[in-house]
Amino acid sequence: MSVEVLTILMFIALMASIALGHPLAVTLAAVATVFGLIDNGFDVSALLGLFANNAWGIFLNYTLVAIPLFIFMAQILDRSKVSEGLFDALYQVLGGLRGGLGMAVIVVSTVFAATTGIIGASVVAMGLMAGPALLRRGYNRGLGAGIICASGTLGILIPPSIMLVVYGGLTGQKETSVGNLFAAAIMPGLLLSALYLLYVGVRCYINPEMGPPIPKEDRTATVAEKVAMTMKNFVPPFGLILTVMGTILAGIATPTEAAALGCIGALILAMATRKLDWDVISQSCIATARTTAMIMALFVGGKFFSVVFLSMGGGDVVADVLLGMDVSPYVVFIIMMAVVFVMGMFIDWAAILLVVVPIFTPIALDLDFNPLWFAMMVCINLQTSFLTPPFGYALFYFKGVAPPEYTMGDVYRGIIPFVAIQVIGLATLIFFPEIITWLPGVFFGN
Amino acid sequence: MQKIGSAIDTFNEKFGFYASYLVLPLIMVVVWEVIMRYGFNAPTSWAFELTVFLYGAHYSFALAYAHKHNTHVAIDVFEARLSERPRTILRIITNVVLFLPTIGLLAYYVCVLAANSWQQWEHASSSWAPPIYPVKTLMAFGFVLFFLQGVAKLIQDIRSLKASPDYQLPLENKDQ
Repeated sequence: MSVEVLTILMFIALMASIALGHPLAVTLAAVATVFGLIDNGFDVSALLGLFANNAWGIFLNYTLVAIPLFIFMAQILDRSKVSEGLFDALYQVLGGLRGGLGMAVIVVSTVFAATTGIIGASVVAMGLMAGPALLRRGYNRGLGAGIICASGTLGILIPPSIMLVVYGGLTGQKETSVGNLFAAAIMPGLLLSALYLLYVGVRCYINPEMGPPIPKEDRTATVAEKVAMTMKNFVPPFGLILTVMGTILAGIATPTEAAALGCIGALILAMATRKLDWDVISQSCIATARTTAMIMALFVGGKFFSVVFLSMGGGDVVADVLLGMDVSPYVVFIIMMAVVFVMGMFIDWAAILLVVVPIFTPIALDLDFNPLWFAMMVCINLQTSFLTPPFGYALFYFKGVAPPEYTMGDVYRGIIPFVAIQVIGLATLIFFPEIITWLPGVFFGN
Repeated sequence: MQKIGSAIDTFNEKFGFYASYLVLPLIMVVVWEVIMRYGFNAPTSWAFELTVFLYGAHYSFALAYAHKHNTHVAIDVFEARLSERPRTILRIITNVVLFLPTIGLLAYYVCVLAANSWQQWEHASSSWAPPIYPVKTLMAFGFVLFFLQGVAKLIQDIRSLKASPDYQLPLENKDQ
């Protein structure tokens, strides 16, 4: 069989077997095993020996140690309920504006995006907390759902973020080290958050029924009270983020070390809010172990898949097709982005990252794209994948916890403008790549 | 058969539960290294390797635990539309075709990797030079448990298929 046929067959086999509903990590490894055997003439011990060595390599990957640590930090923070305090405060501060409550949700999500790093947690927390509140205040249900889902997914992008750790651990390149990726993701994350705020503000200003201000009699807090409430709830989590990000960006600590310090910080914060007991620690440990195992299993399965795919020459096949088209590099870039976008409608971010990045990165380098910029574009695209129907996981998480008044139709309708904002954000970053490359240059030089 | 299945289940539940606490010493070791390096200017020779060993053991041991609780992501949108019986049949088929051969082979060859390490009396080439063979054994143990959990699931699915058609499998919540 020729390489081209094998490449196409391998992808078809992957897509077909993924639909069977078996854990993705195992499916990836199974497809890799079958095609690896076909490619090497059914030498079982050579292929599986190679796989075992790769599994050992992942076992020793120091960068990935940050994954369980950041997850544990998020679990503790989630259970210490600091986000609720901040939401209550901003509810008073912004509630008087048209769309103010929606903006409060976006601000809280942005701050906690920096602490969670996994999207399930942020969307679930905001859905439980803000879902009923927005409904009670007469917000348009689609708009409310869109706000919570879109801003909740910022958690996967705004550092510290598990996705960026996985990306850095996967490439192992200096340009796309976890520190560089963290620095690069700050501005795009804030840009998207600002675009959401702008959209909600303008939309509700023009059409107040979409997001009415809270009634006068509910606005009881004085200015001094508002400031005090906000500071009290804003400073602790923000201080934690500054500690974690600051030590990484200043080059004092590796992301792994900063994550461990963040865990200690989160424990102290939870102790301060009197939410810390053995049960919280135990629950956090269990949730951390399960989520880490899920991501690491995908890492192992994805690694097997890309090892086989690249060694049988599949990477060259894709590169020949994309580079042989004799078009502008940006057309190739947009095709690659479209592939990630479409895959994102169906598959989990980690699987896309682990399958696609090893194939696309050499092509992007061949076309002289800045690797850090390219990485960030892929990551924003993957964040969008949480929002795109039919299988946007953020939408399902939200539907799972929000009051039943939010129908799936509301959620699908409400998310469309935010997906459009994502595309606008991506386009902005194509025309102004400095938004991505500026901060890494400031902190690490280039 | 059923006894084997529930024995695996019970063991993986207990083992996974206690192994999940490994994240706590992991945090301590990393923080200890930071304190020693910046506080006392005396970086340890062992923290770096101990860190990766703890992290590796932590996730390896949790593979089976996550599988038991259905935490491994799957595209279950099509599967969820089937009714109970065809879904169980599909699960049995994917388990036998995808999981058992792949993870079985992998577990076996990871054991081979560990066995070779014992034969060579392998040590890391660092200043601390810890032995590698026990660590590779821990990884192999994790993959073997993962495989066994797949076997336990197969036994469970076959049993529920034999039971009355309206038998409901206890479904665990997915959490992330």
